[in-house]
Amino acid sequence: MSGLMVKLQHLVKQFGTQTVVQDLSLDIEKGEFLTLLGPSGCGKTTTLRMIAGFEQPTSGEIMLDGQYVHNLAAYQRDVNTVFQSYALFPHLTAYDNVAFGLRVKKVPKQEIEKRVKDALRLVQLEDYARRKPDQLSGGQRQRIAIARALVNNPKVLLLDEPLGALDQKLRKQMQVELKHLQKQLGITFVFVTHDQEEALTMSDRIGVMNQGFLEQVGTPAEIYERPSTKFVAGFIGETNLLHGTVRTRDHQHLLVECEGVQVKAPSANVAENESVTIAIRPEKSVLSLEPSHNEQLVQLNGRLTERIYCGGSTRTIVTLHSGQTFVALEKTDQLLPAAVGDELFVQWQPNHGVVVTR
Amino acid sequence: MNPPVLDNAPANQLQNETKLKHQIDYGKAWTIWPVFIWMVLLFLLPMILVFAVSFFSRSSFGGIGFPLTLENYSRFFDPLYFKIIWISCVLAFYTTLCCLVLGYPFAYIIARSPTQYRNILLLLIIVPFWTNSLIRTYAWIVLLRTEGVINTFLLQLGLIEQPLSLLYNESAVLIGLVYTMLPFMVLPLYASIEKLERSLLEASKDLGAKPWQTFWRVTLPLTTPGILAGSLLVFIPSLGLFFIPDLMGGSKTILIGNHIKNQFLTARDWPFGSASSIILMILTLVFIAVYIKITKDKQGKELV
Ligand SMILES: Nc1ncnc2c1ncn2[C@@H]1O[C@H](COP(=O)(O)OP(=O)(O)OP(=O)(O)O)[C@@H](O)[C@H]1O
Ligand SMILES: [Mg+2]
Repeated sequence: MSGLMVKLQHLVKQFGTQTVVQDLSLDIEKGEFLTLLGPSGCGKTTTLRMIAGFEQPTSGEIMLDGQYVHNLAAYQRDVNTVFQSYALFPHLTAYDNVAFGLRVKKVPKQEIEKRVKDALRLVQLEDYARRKPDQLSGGQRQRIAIARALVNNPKVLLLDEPLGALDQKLRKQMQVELKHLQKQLGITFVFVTHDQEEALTMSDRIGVMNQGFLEQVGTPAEIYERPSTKFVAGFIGETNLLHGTVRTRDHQHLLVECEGVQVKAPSANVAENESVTIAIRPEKSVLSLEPSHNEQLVQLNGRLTERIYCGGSTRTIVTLHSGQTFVALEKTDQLLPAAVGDELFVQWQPNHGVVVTR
Repeated sequence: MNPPVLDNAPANQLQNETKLKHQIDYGKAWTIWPVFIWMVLLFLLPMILVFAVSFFSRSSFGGIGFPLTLENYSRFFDPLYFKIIWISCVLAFYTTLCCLVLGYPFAYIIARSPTQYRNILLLLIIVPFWTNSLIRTYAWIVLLRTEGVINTFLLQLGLIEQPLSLLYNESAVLIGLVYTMLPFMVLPLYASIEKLERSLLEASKDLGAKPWQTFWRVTLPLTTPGILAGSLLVFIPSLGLFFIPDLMGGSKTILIGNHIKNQFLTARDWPFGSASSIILMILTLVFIAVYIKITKDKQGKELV
């Protein structure tokens, strides 16, 4: 079961003078659910297209299941894609769309019928088999696209923002279903999204991309709790970033000077006088009206500038004395008795901060 | 309580929509008038004239005269003329087929070439139309005749010893017709191939289809509207074109178009020429009806 399924080695892709994917190396295990996450235009689709065989890498190698594939055309690779735009065949019914891959591979008729029906059942669209794509809703089309790819039982399934067109509720439901399907079938998924919540809930591992670079690869918890770059810290979830210079360091802590204030942070592999950024999640910080006398806490003061109601929690925005804004999360039913303009203190445990240098 | 409100809403909407439709109809009517007048003057009136003439008799001086008669039509029901129609249809069919086989790759290459070249390539297809088609036909004659360019060239190369007879036979007519009609095939084909989404071809490849399977299962079905439209645009004019068979076929091949021309200009039998025209017209309408039926059926199926 285990072993490498996809190996990307120093992939580079250029369109004209623009480098869209830069020196991307990544190993994906068999049966793994790997998500490529990143903002629009960062090269996610291009990376998938190189794996599928629609684009030739400018340099670098791709290995699928132990085999170099640079000389295999797209139709020869045991990989299927769920396209960002679905790309369902408009002249074929849902059934014929799903059967397409099996028919071109000359699978016996009876087996086709069985597998297509199973696939349609899997996406709960058995009753829509005879409809043409333009008679299906966006969500139904998306599910047909998934069934059309899955029915071929590929070694790797590439999904390019397959849930992009769905409303929040259906999206959540499909996330669960897809994840379930993937576990059940044991197919390797390479899933592309720019929705960080989706990435966190579904993936075994996440690769965060930015401007063609793969910034960090890790489990959702690693990515969320120990971002290795400023970009990752800022892109995954909400984060407060404090920029400063390392003043002193010992084996446990760093003392970083941020806008004239000394901020304690967990020890990291940095030198004195190096510029660093400390990332603190909103939910890791606490607000208080009184200064704390606990020497161990990091403490900054500022003024409450805005409160944004978000249901169970409230985002409270504090303007620090340095002028920087800081977002804290409060429980809506336990709000601090403070009004806009009031002076207050933001506090956190030094080891809840994450030090990043890039 | 609630239901009446709910019932009212669509009714109101319907009223509004019909109102809107009336307004739009007025607007349409005004823009349609000039076209309508144009059609009456240049199309309907001549048609009526031809239709009327077809019931007169030929006068002794080559004009038309009484009595009114159906004889012009009954004369047409003769194996001789059926054969003319049959040969015309066969030749038009081959013309269409050749245009399709030649035009499809043509249109495909143009539609899939980089955007900046596409307009130039399309222009190259259309440019020959700016010269008179008669002149272009003569150009072909210069190429094909016994001491023409092709024969001279082949003789000089020593590939042949006797000049080939390339002109004044059915294949010469076919070459002429295909050459003249090709753009009518290429343009609708181009339009439908250009509309074809690249992602669909990629999806087909992705699902394991070899190039010819992609062509057969995706490209061809999705471009049939262009194929049908192009075929109609080639087939029907090919039936009536008379100068190409005249010039390139010698007097050997008589087609329906030549027959009609001969009645008007050579035999000076206007009534019989008119009757033949009307019959060709009816034939054409039948083909158009078949075309509409096929395209409607396709749409209909897509809705099931
Ligand atoms: N065929 C192409 N020719 C030129 N540039 C291209 C081509 N395809 C993609 N690009 C460029 O490459 C960059 C990355 O594109 P890509 O489609 O991989 O982004 P993405 O991460 O999938 O974005 P999104 O989330 O919006 O889908 C973009 O700047 C895009 O303009
Ligand atoms: Mg994309």
